[in-house]
Amino acid sequence: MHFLRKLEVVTDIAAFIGILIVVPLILSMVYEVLSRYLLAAPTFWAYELGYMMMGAIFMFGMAYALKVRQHVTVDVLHGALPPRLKAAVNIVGYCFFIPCVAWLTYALWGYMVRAYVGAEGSGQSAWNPQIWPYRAILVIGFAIFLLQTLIEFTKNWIALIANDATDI
Amino acid sequence: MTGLALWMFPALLVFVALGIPIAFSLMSVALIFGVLRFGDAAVAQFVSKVDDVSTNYILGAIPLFVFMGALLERSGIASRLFDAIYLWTKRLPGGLAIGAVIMCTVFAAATGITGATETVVGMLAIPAMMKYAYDKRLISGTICAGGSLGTIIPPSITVVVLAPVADIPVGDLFAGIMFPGLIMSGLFLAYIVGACTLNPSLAPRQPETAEDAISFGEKLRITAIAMLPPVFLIFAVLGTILLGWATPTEAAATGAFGSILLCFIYRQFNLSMLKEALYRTLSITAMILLIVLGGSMFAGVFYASGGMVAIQKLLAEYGLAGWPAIGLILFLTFLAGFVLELISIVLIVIPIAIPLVKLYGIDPLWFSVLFLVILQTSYLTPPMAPAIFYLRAIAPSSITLMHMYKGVIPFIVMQIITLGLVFAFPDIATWLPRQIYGQ
Amino acid sequence: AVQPAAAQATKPVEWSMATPWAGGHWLDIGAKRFAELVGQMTEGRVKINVFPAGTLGSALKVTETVQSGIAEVGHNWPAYDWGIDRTGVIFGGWSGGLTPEEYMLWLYNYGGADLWKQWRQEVSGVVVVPCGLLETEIFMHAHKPVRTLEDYKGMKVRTSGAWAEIATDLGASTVVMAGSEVFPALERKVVDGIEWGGPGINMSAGFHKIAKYIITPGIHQPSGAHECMFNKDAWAKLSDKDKGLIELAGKLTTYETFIGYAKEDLAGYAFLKSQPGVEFVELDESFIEAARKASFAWADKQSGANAWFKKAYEHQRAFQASIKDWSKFRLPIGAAQ
Ligand code: NA
Ligand code: NA
Repeated sequence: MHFLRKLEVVTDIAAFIGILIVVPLILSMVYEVLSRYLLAAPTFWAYELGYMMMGAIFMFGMAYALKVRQHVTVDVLHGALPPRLKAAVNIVGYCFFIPCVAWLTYALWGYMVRAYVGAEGSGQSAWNPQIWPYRAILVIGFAIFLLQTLIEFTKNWIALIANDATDI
Repeated sequence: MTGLALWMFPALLVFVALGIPIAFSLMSVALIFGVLRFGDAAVAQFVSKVDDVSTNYILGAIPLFVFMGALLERSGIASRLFDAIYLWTKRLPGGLAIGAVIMCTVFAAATGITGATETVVGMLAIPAMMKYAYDKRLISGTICAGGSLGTIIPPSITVVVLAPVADIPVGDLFAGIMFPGLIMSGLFLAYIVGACTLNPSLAPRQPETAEDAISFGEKLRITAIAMLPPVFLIFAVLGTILLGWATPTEAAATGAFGSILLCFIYRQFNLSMLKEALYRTLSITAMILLIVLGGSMFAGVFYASGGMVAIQKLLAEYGLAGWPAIGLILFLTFLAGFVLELISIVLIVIPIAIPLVKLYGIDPLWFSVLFLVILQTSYLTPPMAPAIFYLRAIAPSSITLMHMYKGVIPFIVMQIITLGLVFAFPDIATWLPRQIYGQ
Repeated sequence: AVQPAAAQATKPVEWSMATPWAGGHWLDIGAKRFAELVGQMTEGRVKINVFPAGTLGSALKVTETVQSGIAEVGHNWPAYDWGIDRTGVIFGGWSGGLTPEEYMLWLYNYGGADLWKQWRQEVSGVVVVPCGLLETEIFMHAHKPVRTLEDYKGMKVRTSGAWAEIATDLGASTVVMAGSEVFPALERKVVDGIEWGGPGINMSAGFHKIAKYIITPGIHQPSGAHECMFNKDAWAKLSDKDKGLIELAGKLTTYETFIGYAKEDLAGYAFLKSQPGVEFVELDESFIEAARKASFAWADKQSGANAWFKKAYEHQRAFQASIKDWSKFRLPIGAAQ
C-alpha cells in the first residue's frame, strides 16, 4: 500500500492547486463588479477567466473528491455487503469507468493539440484568448483523475485478493 | 435504434443500486450505449460535454456559494447564527427547520442553479439541527425541499431556458412562478410547524436552564452580534442583484468575499480554517460538477440514440388530445426528472408540449408553471433524486440514505398540493405577470 | 446500361441535425423547415431529425458536432466559429456587410455561396449549403436614447462576436455575460443596452417591457445567413440527384426565411410601436457612417492575419462596389402608400 500512498501525492498536489484558484476566482469577479459599477469600466477578461477558474477547480478537484470519498453513492445495498463482495462490485464498476476516463483523457489531449495547431481562440468574448492552455488543464485534470481511479482499483483488488479491506 | 435508448434507464438503475457512485454510473452507461450507437465517435460527444460543463460561466456560482457556506460553517459563524435563531424560536415547534426554510427561500432568490441553495444552507443549518437533536428525517426533508426552491423562485436558469422555447417573455415567467414558489415555501413551513407540534420528538425542546433566564436586553445583544452580520451578508448578496450591481453569478462572488470579511470582523479568521473551507469547497464542487457532467453525457447519448424521437412517437401514437395528452406529457416530465438534467428535459419536452397546449386553448404560461412545479418535484423524488445526492455530499454520515428517502416524502406531498392549487386556481400563476407586465 | 454508382438511388437514411437553437423562428422556419423540405423533395430518402441546442454537442459548436459524425447534419450561424476562423463573420453577416436583398444577390448570382462552400470544405472539412437568410436586427434595447456616437460612448452594452470588438473601437464598454443572464441584467440595469435579434424575436422575449428605448437600424447586423452543413462521409453516401435536391431545399429555405422573418418582423415592429411607454429612436446618419468605417478598419486588420478572411472580405467588398447603382433605378422598400 505504501507505493499507492506515494502515488496519491499527485492527487494532493492537484487539490492544492485547485484550492489556490478559489481565491482569485472570488477576487476577479468582485473586481469586475466594482470596476463596472463604480468606474463604468467593465474588464475584458473577468468573464473568460471566471469560467476558466471554475473549470480548473472542477478538474483539479475530481481526483481529490474520489480520494476522500466525496462522490455520492446510493449505498442501501452496497453498505450491507461483506467487504470482499463490496470490493468485487467496485472492481466491476471500475472496469466500465476506467476505460471511460482513459478514453476521455486521450481524446481531450487530441482536442488540445487541435486547438494548439489551429491557434484556436475561445470565441467567447472580444478578448478571445488562445484556448489550448485551458484545454491542457482539462487533460491534466482527467489524467490525474485516471491515476486516482487506477489507485482505487488496485486498493479494491488488494481487498479482494488479500482480503485486506482497510483501504476501501 | 429507438429501443436501445430506453434500455439506458434500467442499466443506470443497476449501476446505481450496486453502489457505484452516481456520476460514475451515469458516465459508464453513457459510454456503453454511446459506443453501441456511434462507435469511435462517441468520445467526441463526451469531449463536447466536458467542454460545455467546464466552460459554463454560470456554474461558477457553485464553488462560490459552497465556499461561502463552508467558511461560515468552519468559522463557527453559522453555529452562532443558528444559536441566535434558536434563542428566539425555541418555543416555536421546529424553529431551526423554519429558520432553514426561510434562509433557503432567501437564497433561492439569489441563485438560479440547482444544488447551490441546498449546499450552502445545508452546510449552515445541518450542524445546528444535529446539535439540538432534530429528527434526521426532518433535517433531510427540510434541506432537500428548501434547496429545491432554487429552481422555482426567480432567478432560475431553468426558467430562462424554458421561456424562449415556450415563446413566453422571461419576465412574465419569472413573475408567474413567484407565488407558486412562495406558496410552496409557506406549505413547507406549515408542515414543519404542524408535524413538530403533533410529534415534539421531531424537534426536541431543550429543558429550561438558568441560561434561558437571560434578560430580553441580553437576548437582543446576542442576536445583534450573532445574527445581524450574516443576515446582512445574505441580503447584501441579494441586494447587489436587485440594485443591478451584479449578475447572480457575480453576486455569489460578492457573498464569498463578504464571508471572508465577516470572518475578520468576528476575529475568527485563520489559515487552517480557510484551508479546511477551501478543501471542502474543492471536493463538493468537483462532486456536483461531475454529476452535472455525467448527467449531460447520459442525456446526450439518450437523445442521440433515438430517445427524443421515441418520446415524440409515443406522444403521437397514443393520439391523445386535450388534458389526457397534457397529463401524459407532465407525467413523462416527472419520469424524465428522475435522471435527466432539468435543462435538457425542458429542451425536449417543451417544444412538443407547447403547440399542443396552444391547440387546446390552454395558457402556455400557466402550463409552463405547472411544468416547472413537476420538474422540481421529480428533482426531489426518490430513488433518483438529485436533491438527495447533493445532501449526501454535505451531511454527516450518521444521516443515512433511508433518513433522506423517508424525510422528503411529506415535502413531496406539499409540492403536489402546490401543483393542485396552481391547477385549480390558474390565477396563482397568471395574476402577477398581468399586474407587472400587462397582457 | 449500368449506371455510375453516384447516380443510383440513395439508400434511405435517417440523420440527426445539431442546431444552436433552443427554440424560436430560427429553429422552426429555419432548421425544421429545411429538414421538412429535404424529406419532401427526396421523397423520404433523406429523413432529418432536428435536435435543439446542446442536446447532441455544444450549442455553439455545431461544426465540431458534424465533423465528428455525432450529427450527420448541422444548422449553424457561421460566425459562431469566430474563435476558430473569423472568415465565418463575412458569410454569417456583420456590421460592414449586406442587407437581406443584397445577400441573396451576392450568394446566388455573384459567387458568394460557392466561395462559402469552398472555405468550409478547405478549412472545416464539411459540405455546406446556405439555407437561411437573417433579418436586420434591432440595434439595441436600451435604458437611454442613442442617436450619436457621443451618446454611445461609455455605455455598458451586452453584445457578442465581431461587433463586441468593433463597438469597443467606437467607445462603448462591452460587457460579456452568459445568454441566460441577459434579460435579468437588462432589467436590473447591470447593462445600459443589449442587442438580441429582430423585432419579431425581441417582441416575444419581452425586452420592451423592461427597457424604454428601442434603437434602430441594426447596423451591427444588417442581415446574414445560416448554413446547413453535412458530415463529408455522410454526404458521400448520397446520390447526385439527392445532393442536387438538398441544394434546392437550401435555396428554398433561404427564400422562405427571407419572406417569413420579414413578415414576423413587420408584425413585431407594429406591436412594439403600439406599446405605451416604448420609444423608438433612430441612429444619426453620422453614427451609421462611423460604424461602417470602424467595421471596415476592423476587417482590414483581420485580412492581414487570415488569407481566407481577406479573400471573402474582398469578394464581398467588390460586390458592394458593383451594386452601388442598384438604388438609382429601384424604388425603396415600402414606398407606395
Ligand atoms: Na432561484
Ligand atoms: Na427524482
